[in-house]
Formats: sequence, C-alpha cells, structure tokens
Amino acid sequence: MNKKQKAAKKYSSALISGLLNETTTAEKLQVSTKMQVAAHLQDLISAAGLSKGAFAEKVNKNPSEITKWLSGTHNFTVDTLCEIALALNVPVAELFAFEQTQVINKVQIVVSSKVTRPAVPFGSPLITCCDTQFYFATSKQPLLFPLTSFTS
Amino acid sequence: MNYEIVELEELSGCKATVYSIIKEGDRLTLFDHFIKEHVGQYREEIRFIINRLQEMGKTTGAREQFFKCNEGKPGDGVCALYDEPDKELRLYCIRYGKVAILLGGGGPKKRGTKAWQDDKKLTKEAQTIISISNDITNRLKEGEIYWSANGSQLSGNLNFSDHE
Repeated sequence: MNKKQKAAKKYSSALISGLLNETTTAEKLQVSTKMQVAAHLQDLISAAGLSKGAFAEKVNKNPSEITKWLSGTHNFTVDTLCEIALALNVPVAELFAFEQTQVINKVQIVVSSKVTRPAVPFGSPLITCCDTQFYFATSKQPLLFPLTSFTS
Repeated sequence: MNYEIVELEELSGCKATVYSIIKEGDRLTLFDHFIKEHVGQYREEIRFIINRLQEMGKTTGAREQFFKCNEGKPGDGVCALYDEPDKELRLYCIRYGKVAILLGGGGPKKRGTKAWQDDKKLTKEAQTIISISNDITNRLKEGEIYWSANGSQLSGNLNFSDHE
C-alpha cells in the first residue's frame, strides 16, 4: 500500500448509493427535519444558558428523554413542541427557524435546443433563432422547475 | 491488521467528512460489511442510519448529541450512533469533533444486552474500532497523520500495517 499519500482515497459504495436511491423524498425530508430540529433545539438550549439537566427540569422530564429529543431520531408532537417553546420562551415557529436544506442524490440535467427559422434575415439585430431550457430532476420525484429559460 | 482509511463519497459533505476502513485484500469497507450483513433483516434501519449519516455530512455536522459517547476508552472518540429504544442495530464509530466520523461495524443489540461486553459480535466490532482509534491517535501524535488546513480532513499516511 502507498505510504506517501495525502488526503484519503475517495470510495464510492454501490451498497450505500443503492439504499440512498431507495429512499423516498418524503423519508429524506423527515430525516432531515428531525435532525435539524434537534440540532437547532440544542443550540437554543445552549443559548438560553441551560444544561441538559436544567432544561429537563424546566419541561418536567427525565434527562434521558431530553437525550432522545436531541438525538435527531425523535418524532415531536405539537404538544411537546409547545412545551419546549414555553420553556425556552420562544415562539413555536422559532423551533423550525433553521435553514432548510434538501439533499438530492441524483440530478438529471435535460437540455433541449430548438432551432427556429429566423423571422427576419440574418444580420438583423432582432434575430431570434434558438430556445434553450434547462431542467433539474431527482430520481424519485422530479422537481421539474426551469432553472433558466432564455431566448437569444 | 493492515488497512487503509478511505473517504465515503456518498456520505461526506461540507459539514463533516465520513470515513471507513478497507482491510488489505478486501474490496469493501467495514461499513459496507455492516450493511451487507444486516440489510436482509434490518433494511429499514440501515436506510435510516445511512440517511442520518448523510445528513450529518451535508447539513448538521457530526454533533455529539447524535451519538452515544464513551463506548471505548476515555478520550478515544469511540462512540455508537444513537439508536432508538425500539431499534436493534448498533453502529460503532470514531467521532472527531463535529467535522469527521470514521465508521466501523456493529450488529444487533438484543434486549437485555446492557453493554457490548455482553455480546460476542458487538465485542469484536467494538474492539476493532477501539484498536483503530488507538492506531490513529498514535499517528496523530507522531505527526504522520494530520488535519487538513480547513480542519475537516485527515491527511498524511493513512495506510496502517502490523509490521510497523
């Protein structure tokens, strides 16, 4: 094995990508939201100057329950979110005030080009000869929004 | 054990780099073996684990709150990915702050198992990751391995051999 290499070799796993591609967009969003809510909640608890134990006391729960809430696996009910918001003295919406990101595993770029006969002779500054559109789509649920659409 | 640290492309992102190990003569990582061994019986759980790891890599970073810490020796970074009470699979890893994780193997933690020492398979997997952590710590101390300028990637000699 080579001993002088610098950064680690990149390894692409067919097993990982196969399982990621099986995941629906809804499942991805659920995982992402649970983890981001948990991360943001930890930040809010820290910003309030509370330890996990002190926060547990405020919401009248065992610290082990708080560990579960912060693990990024917990499916919060609206009631629990209200209790948390009251304990931290923030609006409920604040618990979701993080930048939403969506991880897309597969992107398909479709480029189509249509050549049209110029309405006016070449050489005219009003020439219109090409329509090009770009689209992004995920493998599971196409997000068919035009990135850009222009006529030159 | 001779092995090499590799970066898992699908899981790494701007928030955390996700690594695993390939043993000499093998084509799969320890994490791939973990998937292969358990995907038949625990497909949903494995998918959930992979998606959480990817989320850490791309969005949240490997925050301590997502792990069950202190599974190894004090300060060695060995931990397990947090598993819900109704889930069985336990995955061992080494966490380097929020910016890097090295994934090992794991297995089902049956009800009644309090610690990895109570289960043969978990003992084997936990001891493997503890030993890897020890090797990496020594290399970091010796300066053979170092963190990249942005502090999120391991660099240097990432191949390990028994004969050193």
